[in-house]
Order: sequence, then structure tokens, then C-alpha cells
Amino acid sequence: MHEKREAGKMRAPVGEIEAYWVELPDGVCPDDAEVRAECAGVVVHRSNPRQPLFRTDVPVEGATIENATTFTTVEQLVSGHAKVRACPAVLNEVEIAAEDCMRETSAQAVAAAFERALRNQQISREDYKCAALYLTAFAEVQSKQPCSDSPEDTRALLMKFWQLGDMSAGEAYRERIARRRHVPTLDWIAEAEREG
Amino acid sequence: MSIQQYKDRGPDKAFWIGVLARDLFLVRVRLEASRLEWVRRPGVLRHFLVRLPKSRSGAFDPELGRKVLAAVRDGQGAVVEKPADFLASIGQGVGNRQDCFYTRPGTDARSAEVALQDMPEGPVRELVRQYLAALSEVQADFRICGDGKRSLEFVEHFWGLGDQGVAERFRRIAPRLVANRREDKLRAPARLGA
Repeated sequence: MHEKREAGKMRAPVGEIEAYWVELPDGVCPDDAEVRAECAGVVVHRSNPRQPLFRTDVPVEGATIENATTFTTVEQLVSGHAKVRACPAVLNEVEIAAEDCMRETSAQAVAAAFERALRNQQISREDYKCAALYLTAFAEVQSKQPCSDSPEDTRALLMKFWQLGDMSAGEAYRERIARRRHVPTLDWIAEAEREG
Repeated sequence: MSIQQYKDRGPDKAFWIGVLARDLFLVRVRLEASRLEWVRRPGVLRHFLVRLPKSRSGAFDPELGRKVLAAVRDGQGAVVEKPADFLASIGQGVGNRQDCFYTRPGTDARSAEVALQDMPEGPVRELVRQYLAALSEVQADFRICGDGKRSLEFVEHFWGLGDQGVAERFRRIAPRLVANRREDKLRAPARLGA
């Protein structure tokens, strides 16, 4: 038995660090958080599918009080409140075809175009997955608050709001639509009468 | 503050730490005896994730992570409160069953482990065995034998140091114990002669 115990003493595995891990922040979809982590290169542990853990680069033995900001950064990242990767310029080059515009919302039309670009290997899987999170947030807004944004407008806004992260971009988009709706619209008939 | 004095898992968020086990068996024994929440990382050999027993709310406490790491990975700190009742009842049985032992034969800790065999099985018993095993390594180096009572008393008194910590503390006094034993031996014939 003693010999067995001696044999159990081994060197630490290479490539791993004893780091801090953070839990999934409240109210965040675990699947979406995992996509964000994957796109950002954050290691995820999924022993409990509803409660994934995300590795930070803060070493346990060298941690200081100042590292608290790193934890916040990782949490913002997996919550969709910070960009997980640079905005891929190639998204601007994807052609939005007429058949894509058959979808319910402009965001879905853009998503369809990106999906085709993925199949054609025009964009990477990570870029597609990441963009899809933004477009899901946009589509949700557009389905609740009808707006006149075309697919091209939606894509332009996607690029514009990219650095906010998908959830924050969705909120920014919602505010933008709400502001636009509060602008008093002209009375068409009154305007026409005045012109006449 | 020892790690067991922090409150148990609550509804709040908590940090987890990665623990790379140099001795997989020992780390597992410590974790199973502790009240800490932990998981193995599949696909990453000897890597455990351990939930820190404190809510994340409030200021970040880097010391807690280091304490848990030292206790779980290195045995330098108690992973569970001292099982005083358990330790007190060791030695009340016959203690002569044959089993596999972790201690070195002929040491004081071996006698204690023999007595431990009569105690109910469970993670605490396994942890106590590891305390005795570590102590026994030192005792073997210094040829310290006995009926096991003093080993159990030593473990109980220094429980908070962890299994390896207790052995290290014992190593500091072992040369003195040996020297004392030699003096006793030298005095014994003189006493007999007198």
C-alpha cells in the first residue's frame, strides 16, 4: 500500500494553471454564455449544464485585491456586455440576397445571409456564432417593436454596436427604436392640405 | 481564520479555484472529508475545481483562495473541523483486525491506525489515516514507536495544520524525542545499579 501511495505522487500537469473560476452570472443563458466564452477563448467547465464555470487568468497563489476587476471583465464578457472578439470586417462584404429578405425581421434576413456565407466558408464559425447572438437580440427587438430598418441598416447597426457586446447592443438598439418612436410623426393629411 | 469557519454554501455566487493535484489520492481524500463543493475536470488529469466557502459579495479576499489551495493540495491546513468526538473514541475497540495500512510498520502512528480500523468507515476516518500516515513517515525516520495514543493526541492538538502540516511540526521535535530516549536509556542501567 505504501508503494502505491508513492507512485501516486506525480508532477503537476503541464499547461494548466491553478486559477480562479467564476460562476455564470444571474439571468444569463448558459448556452449563450458558452458561445461567448468560446469566441473569446475563455475556458469553460460544464459539469453542470445549468451552471457552467469560466476560467479567469488570475492565479490563486498570486491573486491580489486588484484582480477583482478581472473577474468583472470575464463576467461582463460571458454576459454579453463586452465584445468577445474584434468586429469581423468580412461581415460587411456578405451579400444579402433577395431570398434572405423573406424572413420576418431584418435581423433574421441578415442572419440568413451570414448562414449562407458560413456554408460557403466566406466567414468563420466563430464569427457566425458571435454575429448570430447580436442578430438574435436585434430580431427580438424588431419583432416586438416594428421598425423600418432594412437588412443593410441592421447590419450597419450590428457593426456600430459590436463593441458593446451582444446583450448591450440589443439594449442600445431597443433604446434607439424607442427614441425613434417617440418623435411625433407628421399628420400626412394636414401636411398635404398645407402644401395644396 | 481557518477555512472551515467560513459559512457553508449559500444562494450567493462564489468563486471556484483550480487545484492541480500532485497526489491525486490524497487530494481526493481531503476533498471527500471536507464540506467543500468540488468537481473533477473531465479530460484534464488531476485537475479539480473547488468552490470557495464564502459568498462573492463584499470585497475580494485573495487569502481564502490561498488557504483552500494549501489545505486541499498540500495538506497544509485543515479541510474540515477537528472531529474531536471521533478522535476521542479511537482506541476503545480491540483494534486487531488485519487490513491494509497506510502507516509504516513499527511506528507509534501504526498502532494508532490499527486502533482506527474499528472506527466506522467514512471520509473522516480516511482523512485521519492520512494524518497518521504522514506522521508515521517521520516516526519511521526516527524509529519512534509506541501504543499510538501520543500520535492521536498530537494529531488532535495540531489538527488545524493539516495532515502534512502536522507531520512537519512533528519532524521539528523528533530529534529531541530521540535524544531524550537515548538519555533515558543511558540513565536506566544507572538506576538499576543504584
